[in-house]
Amino acid sequence: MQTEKFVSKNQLLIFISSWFIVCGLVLAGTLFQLTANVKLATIDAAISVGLTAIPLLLVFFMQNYLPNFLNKISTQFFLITLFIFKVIYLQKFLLPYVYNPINFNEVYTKTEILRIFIVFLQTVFFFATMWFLNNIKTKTKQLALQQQAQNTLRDAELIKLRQQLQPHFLFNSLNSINALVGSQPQLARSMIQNLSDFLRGTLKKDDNKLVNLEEELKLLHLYLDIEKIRFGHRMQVVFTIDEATNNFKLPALILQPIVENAIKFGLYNVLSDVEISISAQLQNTHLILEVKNPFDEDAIQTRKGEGFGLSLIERRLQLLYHRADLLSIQKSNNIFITKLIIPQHD
Amino acid sequence: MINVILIDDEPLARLIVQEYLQAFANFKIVAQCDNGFEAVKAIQQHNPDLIFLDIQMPKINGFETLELLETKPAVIFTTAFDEYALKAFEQNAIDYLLKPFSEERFKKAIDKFLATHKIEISSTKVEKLLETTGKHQDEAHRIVVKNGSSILILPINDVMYIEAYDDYVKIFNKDTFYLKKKTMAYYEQILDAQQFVRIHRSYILNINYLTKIEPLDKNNALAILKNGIKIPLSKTGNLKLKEILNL
Repeated sequence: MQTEKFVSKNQLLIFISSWFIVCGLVLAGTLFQLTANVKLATIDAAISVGLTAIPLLLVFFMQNYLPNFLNKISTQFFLITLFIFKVIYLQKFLLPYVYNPINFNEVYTKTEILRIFIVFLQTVFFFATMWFLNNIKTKTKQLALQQQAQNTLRDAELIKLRQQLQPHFLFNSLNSINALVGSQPQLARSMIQNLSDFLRGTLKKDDNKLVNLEEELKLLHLYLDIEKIRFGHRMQVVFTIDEATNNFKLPALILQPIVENAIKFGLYNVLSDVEISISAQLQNTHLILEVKNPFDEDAIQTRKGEGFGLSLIERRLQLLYHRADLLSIQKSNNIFITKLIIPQHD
Repeated sequence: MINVILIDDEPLARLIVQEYLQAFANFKIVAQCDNGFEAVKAIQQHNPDLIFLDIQMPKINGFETLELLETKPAVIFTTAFDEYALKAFEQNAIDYLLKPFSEERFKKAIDKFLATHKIEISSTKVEKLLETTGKHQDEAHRIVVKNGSSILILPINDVMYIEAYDDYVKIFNKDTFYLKKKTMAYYEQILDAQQFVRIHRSYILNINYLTKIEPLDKNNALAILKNGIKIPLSKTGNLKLKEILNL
């Protein structure tokens, strides 16, 4: 995959071929000095260098298609040795036909050491290149794996972040408590209690844990009690919960962010009073949750926050249930509906 | 007597300011407002010396509210804004109270106000503030304008083009235009550069309304909009436009 970025197969072939051509030129030059015959020198050099290339290419393709067979160093060593001897033997066997009728043996004796050396060089260079390439491949793979691990970690963090308290909510709640301490200390106390319980509830929740609807609603009430103290003058919350759904399971803290969204959306999008309705129903063994808030259809939807919040919930549901159709939104008659389908297993 | 207006959508947030303010005998709260619309009305009516202004509020935020005022009173922002934004406040010497704030901190803000009797807040300061806090998400999607006594929120997609007009800009939609005391550079910076292109020293065009470019001579051309309006196109503007349209 990413290996291509460093060295492509074509580049590799050109690289090795040019090295082989250099070897051939050295041999051809030497032969020319001996025979003073360009044609003979060229043909000999081409055949000699070419003969080495054939088994090496064979190894190259075997490595691609039979990687397990060639992975053992002993096998490689055996093959290399075999090839070297084979090549030298073949040169000695084939070349006399080329040199005919000139005396080949004389030329060969003078160049034997050079020939062996060149075959050796070609082989070593070939394997060095292969080894280098393999190294790069492994490193790239490792890098890709690391990147993937980091991405997963970041996603997890993102989801975690969403679950944690909005700092705005926390600071504004503390500000309300500050105001209540003077005028209504009893209410201040209960707000501190609610805030602490809610905080604790959100902190201990495990991302992948499923909880009963009843438990999730308890936490939601803690949150709503705080919001009612802050915005009670213009916000009402209406619950319609089918009793049968109490023991239905849902991912922890999935409903609260939706309600938080709805409240923000409602409160900041219209000037009038805001009614938030939350319902839970049973439908074909699925738990259906709906959160409704008013919004102004004519107003410009600028609160990007809701998109962000909802898309994270969508992502969580996808990770948990492998489905992308569990969260949907609907707008009609100035009411914004967020609908959540939670499949029930076992 | 110093007249004060409290503007915050949370009654308890106004209550705490009210409580802290009781320690100062010569301060009088003349109005309390739930949102920016009420605030604009109340400020015009009472002409207060000082306002306490929340930022996150229904419909229009604190900055937009401030923009709508012709004469701006001294302002102390009250906000639960994040740290990054606060730096911008400090850099632009705009006083703010970070919720929740202590009585001591509140007194300091009042002292500062009393010392100068005017916490200076010019529109350039608010602009700078917005620039340093990054594109404020609301501002990039809508423009709040005043039309007589009513306040209008223009969706950014309805804006056809913006024309420079002395210290003001004219913001054109299909039917009419609105004046706003802002600079061209401000809108060039804050609006989506892929949609709003500065095609001329005096014009920013919403390219969704462009139908035709008509060359005049070597350097100049005219941009023709869907409803037939023609606006001049400078040489650099033409190049910019062509780059965005992939011509």
